[in-house]
Amino acid sequence: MEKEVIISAKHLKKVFGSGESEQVIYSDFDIDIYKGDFTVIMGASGAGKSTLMYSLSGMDTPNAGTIEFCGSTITGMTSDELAVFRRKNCGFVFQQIYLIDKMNLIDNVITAGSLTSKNKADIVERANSLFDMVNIPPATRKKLPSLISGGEAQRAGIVRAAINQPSAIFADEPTGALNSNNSDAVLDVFSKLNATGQSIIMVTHDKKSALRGNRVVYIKDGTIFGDCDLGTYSADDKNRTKKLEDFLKEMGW
Amino acid sequence: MGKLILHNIKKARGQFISFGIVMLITAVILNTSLVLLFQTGNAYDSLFDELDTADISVTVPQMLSSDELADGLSEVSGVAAINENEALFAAAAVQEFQGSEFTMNTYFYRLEDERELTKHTVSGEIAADDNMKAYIPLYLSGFGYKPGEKIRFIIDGKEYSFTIGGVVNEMQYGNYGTCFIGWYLSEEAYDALSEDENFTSVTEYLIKAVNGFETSAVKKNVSGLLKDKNIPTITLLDRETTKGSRTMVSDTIVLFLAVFALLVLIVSIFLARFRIKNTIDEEINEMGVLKGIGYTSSMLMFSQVIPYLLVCGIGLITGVAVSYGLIPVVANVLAVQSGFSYAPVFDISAACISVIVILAAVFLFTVLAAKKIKRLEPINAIRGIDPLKPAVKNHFPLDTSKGAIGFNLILKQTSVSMGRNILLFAVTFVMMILLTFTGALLFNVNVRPYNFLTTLSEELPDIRVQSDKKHFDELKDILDRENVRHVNYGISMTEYSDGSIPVIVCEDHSLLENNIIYSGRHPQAADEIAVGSEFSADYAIGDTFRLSLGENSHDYKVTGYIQSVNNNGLIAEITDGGYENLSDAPLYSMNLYMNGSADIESFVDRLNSDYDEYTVSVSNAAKETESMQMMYSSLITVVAAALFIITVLIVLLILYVIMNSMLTDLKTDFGIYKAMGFTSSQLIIRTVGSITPVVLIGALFSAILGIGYLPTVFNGIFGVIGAMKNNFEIPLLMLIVMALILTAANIFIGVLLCHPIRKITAYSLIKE
Repeated sequence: MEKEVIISAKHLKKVFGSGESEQVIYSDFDIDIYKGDFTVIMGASGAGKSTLMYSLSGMDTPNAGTIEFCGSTITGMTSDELAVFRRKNCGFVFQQIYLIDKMNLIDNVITAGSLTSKNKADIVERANSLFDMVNIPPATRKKLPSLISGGEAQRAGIVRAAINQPSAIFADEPTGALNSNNSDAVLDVFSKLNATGQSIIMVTHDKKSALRGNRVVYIKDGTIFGDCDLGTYSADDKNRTKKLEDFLKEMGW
Repeated sequence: MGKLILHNIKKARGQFISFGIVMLITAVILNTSLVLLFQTGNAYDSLFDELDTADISVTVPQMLSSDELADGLSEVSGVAAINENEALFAAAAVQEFQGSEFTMNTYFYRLEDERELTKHTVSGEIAADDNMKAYIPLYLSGFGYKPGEKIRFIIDGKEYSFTIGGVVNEMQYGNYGTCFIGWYLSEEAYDALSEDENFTSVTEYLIKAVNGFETSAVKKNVSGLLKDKNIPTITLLDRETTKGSRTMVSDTIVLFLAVFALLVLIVSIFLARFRIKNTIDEEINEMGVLKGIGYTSSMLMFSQVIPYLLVCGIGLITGVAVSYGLIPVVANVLAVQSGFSYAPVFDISAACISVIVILAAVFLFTVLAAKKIKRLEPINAIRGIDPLKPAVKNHFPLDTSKGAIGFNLILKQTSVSMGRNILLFAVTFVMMILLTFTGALLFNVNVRPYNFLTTLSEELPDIRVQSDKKHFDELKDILDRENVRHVNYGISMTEYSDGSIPVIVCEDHSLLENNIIYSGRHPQAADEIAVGSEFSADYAIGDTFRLSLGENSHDYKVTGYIQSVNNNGLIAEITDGGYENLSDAPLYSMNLYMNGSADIESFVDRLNSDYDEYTVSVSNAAKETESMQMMYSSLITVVAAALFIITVLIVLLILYVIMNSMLTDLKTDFGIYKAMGFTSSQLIIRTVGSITPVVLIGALFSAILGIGYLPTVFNGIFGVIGAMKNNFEIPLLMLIVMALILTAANIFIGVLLCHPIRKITAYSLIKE
C-alpha cells in the first residue's frame, strides 16, 4: 500500500547570513515525509538537520521553496497563522526540554492542550493517560520541572508534544542531554507513540536513537545524501543495527 | 568594574532611560517647589523692606482722624515711626473680570503722594493723554488688564472708567488676600473721585515697629488705643497677617507640588529596588560565573547600584537644570495670586535636597536591594539556585482550579512575581491618589462649582440689595408679591479686643443656603455669636466675646465656629437682635434667592428701574459668583490637567520598566508558548491580563480609601486657607470610574509596550 505523504517540501533553500558571510545550508532541496513514519534525520554537525526539521514544521522560514503540510502550504503563512497551524499539527520535543519552569508537569501539558480543546476534563484525562503511558506517576505530575530528573522532564515534554494528537511530532536531539537509562526510557516512549500511528520526525547524532526510526535520512552538503528504510522497529532485530551501521558507513559517518 | 557597570547600563538602556526620565521629572517638580518655597517668603520680606512697607497699617474714616490720634499712635509702645496718608475707600465691582465682574474692597491712593512708608514701584507705565489714569496692582494685571487699556468698575450702579497707566508693585494691598486691594490714581482721577459720594475718605496710618518688637504686640497696642478712643477701623493689618494672606494660595500650590514630587520619588525608589532584585534573578548564573572568576560581592553589588546612581544623578542634575526654565513660568503664575513678582535665582539648598538627598535615598534602597548578591554562593548561582528566593509554587493548578484554563493561566502569571505585583500595586495606588485628588478637585470646581464656592465663600445669594430705613419693609412686601425669597443679611465692620472684624448679621442663619458653621451652632438669641476659625483657639464655645461698634459694646456668648476663606477666619456672625445691641439702625440689606429658572439679570434690571426708589444698591451676586468660579476653575483646570499628563507619563515610564523586565524574564517562556502554537495576540492578552488584576485592585483600593482620606486631605489643604469644613462631594462612582480609566490606560499602554512579544519567535529558542 502506498504511504500517505504528510509533508512535502519542494526546492527548499535556506541561507544564513548575507554577502560574503552567506552560508547556504541547503538549496533546491526536496523531501517527502510519510504519515505514520518515524523519520530520523542524521548528518554531521552543521549539516542543517535541525534547520531542515524546523523549516518543515513551520518554526523557521526557508528562503525559497514550498512546504505542503497536511494539505496546507505553510510557506507564506504569517506567524500567527503558523502558530494556529502548529497547535493542531505539530508537537515539539527539544534537547533542552523547555518546560515552563513556573508550572508543574500536568499544567505544562494542560496549557498546550488548552489550545485545541476547551473541555478541561477531556484535556486532563488525555494528559493523565499520556503520563501513564510514559510512566510518570501522579505525584510526579504535580511537581515543578526543577524538582524532577531530566528523563522525567523529557518524557513530560513528549506528553506535552503529544497532547493535541498532532499530525507529526518533531524531536530535536531529544536524548542529547540525558544519560543512557533516561535515553532508553525516552526512546521507548517515542517507539510506543509511533506504534500507535503517530508520525515522528527526529533529528539525532545518536545511532541508538536512530535505530528507533523506520526511515533514516542522511543530510550532507545540503542534499539528501542517503535515505535508508530500516523497517518497523523491533528491539530484538539485530539486522537493523547492522543495516544502520552499514548505511552510516556508506554515508561516511 | 567600570566595564561591568557600562555593560549593565548598555544591557538595559531602555529601562535606565525610563528611570532617568522619572528622576528628571521628580527633580523638576521638587526643585521648582523647593526654590519657590524657600525664596517666595524671603523675596516677599526683602521687597517688603526695600519698599519700606509699614509693619502695621490702620485705616480709619477720615472724619475720625486727627493730629491727636496720630500723636497717640506714635506714642504707642513699640512704634518707631508713623506716616499718614489719605485715601478713598469703596467696594468697587470691577468689570470684565474673567468675563464677569468682581466686587472688591478697594483703597484708592494718589500716585504722586510722597510716601515715607509703604512705597511702590510702577512698571509698564504709559504716557497717555488721558488724565483719568489708574495704576492697578499686579494681581489685576495678571487677569488680563493691560496698561493703555480701559478698566471699568461700578459702584451703586454708577460706572467709572480709567485708562490703565501702569502696574503697581507694593507689599500691602497688592492682591485680594487681605480682602482689600489698592489702586493708585492720577491727580485728576483722584480729585474727581474724592468729590463723589460713593467713596469714603479715609486716613491710613502706616506704622513702623521698633526693631525687635513683635508686630503682633504693637498691633495689639494700637488696637487698644483705638478702642480707648472709640475709633472704628476699616482695616488693621500687621506684617505677618498680610504676608500670610498674600502668599497663602501660592504656598498651598507649591506645597502640593512638593508632595506630588515626593510621591513620584517613592514610586521611583520602589522601581529601582524592583529592577535590581529582578536583575539578580535574571542574571544569577552570570553573577555566579563572575564570582567564580574572582569578582567580589561588593564589586558585583556596586556594578548593580552604580548604574542607578549614575542615571539617577544625571536625571536629577538635568532635572534641576530644566527646572530653572520652568521656575520663572510657575513664579509668574503664582505672582498673580500673591500680587508681587520676583525673579527666582539658583538655590543651592533646593538643589542639594533635589540631588543629594534623593541620590542618598536611592543609594540606600538600591544597596539594600543588591545586598542579596553577597549571599550568593558561586556554584549555586551558576546552577541558578538562589537560596534566598522563595520556592516557586504552582499557583492556580490548571487541573483542579475552577474556571477556564485561559483565565487561570492569566492568574498563574499574575502570581509569579510578588515583587512586581507590589511595585505595580504601589505605583497604581500612588498614582490613583494623585488622580483622585485632581479628579475630585476638578469635579467640585467644574461639575459641582457650588461645592467649591460655598467652601470659599460665606453666602452665595442670587442678588444682594441694600435699602434704607424708609423703604426696607415696603421692598420686602414687593419681593413677597414677586415671589422672591429674601433674608435680612448684611455685613458690618465692628471691633473686637485686637482689631476690627466683619460681622455677618442675619435675621435667621438657618434660612441661609450655605451653612458655614463647622463646630457648634449658629447664634439664635440676641446675646449669642459664632466666631471665625481664627478665634477658635482663644475662645471656647460658651466663652464671652465682646464686640464694639462706635460707642456701643456688647458681650456675646460663643455658640460655634464659622469658616471664612475670604476673611482668613477673622469673622463673626450674630442675629438681627444681636446687632441691635450694637446699633440702633439695622443694616437694611438682604439677600435674594431666585427660582432656578429665573432670569436674575432681568430682575436686577427691574429692581434698578421699576423699584429704584426702594433700593440703595442692587448687585448681581450670581454673576460675581460665576466670575469667581471662572477665575478658580481656569487655574485649577490647568494645574489638574498638567498633573494628569505628568501622572500618565510617569505611569507610562514605570510600566515600560515593568513590562520590559517582564518580557526579558519571560522571553524563553514566550518562545515555548509560541512553539506550542500560542499566537502573539494571545500572549500579549495574557501578559497584559496578568498585570491588570493588580492594577485594578490597586486602583479600586486607592479609590475606595479615597472616600476616607480625600476629605481629610481637602480639609488639610483648605483648612490652611481657613475653610475648616469643605463642602466637597467625593462620589464613590466618580472614584471608581477613575480607577477603571486608570486600569484601561494601563491596559492600553501595556498592549503597546508588549509589542516586542510579536518579534519573539519559537525558533529563537533554539537559535539562542
